[in-house]
Amino acid sequence: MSNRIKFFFWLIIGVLVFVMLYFPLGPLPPLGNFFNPVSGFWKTQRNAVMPAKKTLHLSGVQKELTIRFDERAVPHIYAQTEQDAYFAQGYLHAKERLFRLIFQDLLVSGRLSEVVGRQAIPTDRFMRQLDLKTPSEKALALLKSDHPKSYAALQAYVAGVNAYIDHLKPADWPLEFKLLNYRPYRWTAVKSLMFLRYMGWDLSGSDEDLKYEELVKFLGAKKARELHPDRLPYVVPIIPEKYGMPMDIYRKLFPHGVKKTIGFSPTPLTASESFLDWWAKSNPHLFGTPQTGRGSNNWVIDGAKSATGHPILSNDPHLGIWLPSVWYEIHMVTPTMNVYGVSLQGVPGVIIGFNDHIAWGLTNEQSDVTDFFRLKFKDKTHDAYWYNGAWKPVEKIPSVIKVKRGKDVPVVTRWTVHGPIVEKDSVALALKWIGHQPTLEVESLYRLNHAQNYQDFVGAMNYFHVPAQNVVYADVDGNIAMWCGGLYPIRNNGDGRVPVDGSSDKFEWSRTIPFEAIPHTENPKQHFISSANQRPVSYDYPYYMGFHWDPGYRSRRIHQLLSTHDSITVADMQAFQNDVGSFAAARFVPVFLNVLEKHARQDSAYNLLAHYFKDWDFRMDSTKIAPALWNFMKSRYKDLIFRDEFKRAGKTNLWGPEWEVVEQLTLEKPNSPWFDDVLTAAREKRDDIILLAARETYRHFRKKYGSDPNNWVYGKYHQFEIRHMLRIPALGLKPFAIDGSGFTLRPAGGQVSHSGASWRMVVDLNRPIKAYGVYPGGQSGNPTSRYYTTGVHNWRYAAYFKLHHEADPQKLSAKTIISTITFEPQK
Amino acid sequence: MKKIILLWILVFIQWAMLTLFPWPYLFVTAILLGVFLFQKERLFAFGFWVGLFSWFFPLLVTLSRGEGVTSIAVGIFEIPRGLSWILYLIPPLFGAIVTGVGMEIGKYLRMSFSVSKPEERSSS
Repeated sequence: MSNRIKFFFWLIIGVLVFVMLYFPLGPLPPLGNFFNPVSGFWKTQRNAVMPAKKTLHLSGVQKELTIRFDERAVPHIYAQTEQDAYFAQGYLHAKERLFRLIFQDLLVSGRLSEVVGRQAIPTDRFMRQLDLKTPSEKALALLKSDHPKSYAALQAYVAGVNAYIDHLKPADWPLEFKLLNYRPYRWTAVKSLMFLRYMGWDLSGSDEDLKYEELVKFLGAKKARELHPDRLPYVVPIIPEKYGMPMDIYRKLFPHGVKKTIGFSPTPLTASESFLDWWAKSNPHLFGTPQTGRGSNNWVIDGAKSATGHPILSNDPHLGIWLPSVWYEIHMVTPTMNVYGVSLQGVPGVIIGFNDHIAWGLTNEQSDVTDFFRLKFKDKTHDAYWYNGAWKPVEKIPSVIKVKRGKDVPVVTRWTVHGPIVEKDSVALALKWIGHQPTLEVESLYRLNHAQNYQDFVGAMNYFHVPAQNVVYADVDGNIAMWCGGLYPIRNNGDGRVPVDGSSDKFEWSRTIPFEAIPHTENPKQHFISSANQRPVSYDYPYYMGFHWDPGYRSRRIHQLLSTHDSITVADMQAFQNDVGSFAAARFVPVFLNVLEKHARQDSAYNLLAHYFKDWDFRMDSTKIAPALWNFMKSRYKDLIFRDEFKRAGKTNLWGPEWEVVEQLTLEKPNSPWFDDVLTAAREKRDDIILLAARETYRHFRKKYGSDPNNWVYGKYHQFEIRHMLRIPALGLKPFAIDGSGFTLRPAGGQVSHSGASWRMVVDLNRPIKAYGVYPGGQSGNPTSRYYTTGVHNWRYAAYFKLHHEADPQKLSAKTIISTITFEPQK
Repeated sequence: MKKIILLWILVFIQWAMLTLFPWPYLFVTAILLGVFLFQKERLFAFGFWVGLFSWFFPLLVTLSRGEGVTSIAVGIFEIPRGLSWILYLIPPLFGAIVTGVGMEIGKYLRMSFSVSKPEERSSS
């Protein structure tokens, strides 16, 4: 073989080796980069080490600032200017949570396919149709023109994020980006607003109108209304008094009252089954999950109820639990602010927390802020639609979805006067969602962080629009309050419960509930206020707010606890947050038990279930058997009541009823026709269904867990899993047994739960403020860091960390400081 | 002895290159080394050892900070328990192949296009 041939032989080998190491092989990253001992994935571990002391010279920093990290790696930022504090926050978010920050943005802006390939195209298409960018750009312009302080804070934050990204070498990329072979990109203010808007969408956007319409179509309007009534029974509204203001003010604000729901005849059905399926599969959930809905708890007691004589506030927002964590704990001190709490990567300031004067917490306000409009298009191009007597062109925004290892997918976002068009195959509807207005939550958060009293707080509420939240408040002067902050549409006609005709402005939203009339209360006579996503006001409130609320079991439970306890301590509040007493079980199980005991001789299953239910205290304890039996049986029971009607109507997976409806049928209407199995000749009643559910429960457990009931403990059947956002098992935690259920104050819905209390906080407003908190994750987004899952153990076992919020850095104990970073202006 | 000294010199050159530049530059360096170390014997084996050590030592330095990341990588790639050591072999092996192949290419590049024959060069 000549030398030239040998040369080409080795050259080909060389090219092959180069290609193998330099280019990604299928889903694998380029192996040469990944296994590079200097800059590859091993470097991730070195990046997790926090230096004892470090000084950085950064352009964008105005004056020297210091960041001290405590024993949980919580940063305490001591800045001489506001701008610097937000700059430092942006820098830290990028440094510790860059993967989550960018990954969220990829999802929000419909670009996930760039990273994960074809499988994300439906989600990207959905997000492009939803178009959160257009309203965010408008909101940014408004912020710039009308709110210079919060605008400056946002810009400083963005500069901080980019200060980190600009100096980022491939060796320092987060592990996830090394795996995905994806270069993180620069941040912008619009991205921050889009992310906040996406959170609003995830927590308030809804397809319930479509599901309700389908229910009406299959079951008829009367039965659909029975399952989802205008007025739910047993509701304990958030606002204990009359909406927080006298009725005469209401009449003055809205003298003509509320227009009643209009008649409904859904023919043909607006959305096909495939459209609903597409919606369910394409609409991404990072925060609200179908498993536990969009629940949260917050409550506050005043000095008359507390052991300290001062208010104590608590909050635990329930969100999808992922790694890296949704929250980043932070303490920011400037000459004008000393605020502590949890922040969201991508957003400046503290979302839930406290300062030297006030504390606040959030729960989701589940009002109806989404409508669908049916459109009449001029032709198949969907380029023009009929509106108020003329063809109106849709506003088109073309874009391209780039696909990893695939062809680009062109998409067109189409806007109508109602909102953007969501379309799949032949179904195209205009979506009207309150978050498509240019709302200014960043301004609200800025004001909340700086608030010094109730007036400041109310001022902040005036800008808290999307998602509507029940914002609980307490201050060091002894005041407590709750505002259901948000924008609530007033429809020209109807209540938008089903898709409406979009060919005119007949069903448009003319305005929103006036700010003064938004449900709120201050220092109520009962000395406490609580919210757990139930209806905020009693049913004589003159405005329509919605028809679907969280089952009121958590709200009734906390109401029960707070109204029957006095001299409540911080420890009591923590215990309440972790309470696993099931109010739902307390309502249903006595009925079940009564029926089972009556028929105990007929079947060993009845006897066994009765045995375990008899002495049960209704606590969803993972070591007990009764919670497992109840949890399964309740679902079977509900299913058995309604499935036959659904099946006869032609579709088994219709939108099921509210739990309060099931509760009312069980307690008050045992002979209701709903209990009859319409597919059998016999006429069944409630007790028959209870017995059938009991038999099925018994069979299920025997089959799945064996004949020994000792193997049926709740903890084996019910677990919690904290997954990584990429769902790579090695980066997440293995499932573990957990107490609680979807109905308890300590939430853990589903068989393997993936959502729950994302942040537990209790704040004692006695000067000096003492605060405690914990979340199921850690400060670092780096999976190799010791701070990746710092809080999980405490969170699982209901323990809390003391939150250090000293305004003077010298008062932070030296023992608690593990690292100090100084930012200095670039010379 | 000379060869061993040369080997270590090259190891440190490659290590420095790897620290300062993206790894593909090592290919270029290896080819150049092959051209200049042009000799009759097989350079692949020599380059293999150079590459092996030049990727192995920085790996040791990186790993000196702990091994947590290895267990994560084992999980990501679903490597069976007890075989995690494979992960430590991969980088040196990559370095060895890249350098060995590069030097061999350099050698034959020189041999193919050089005016003088290697025998003539070595005899002189």
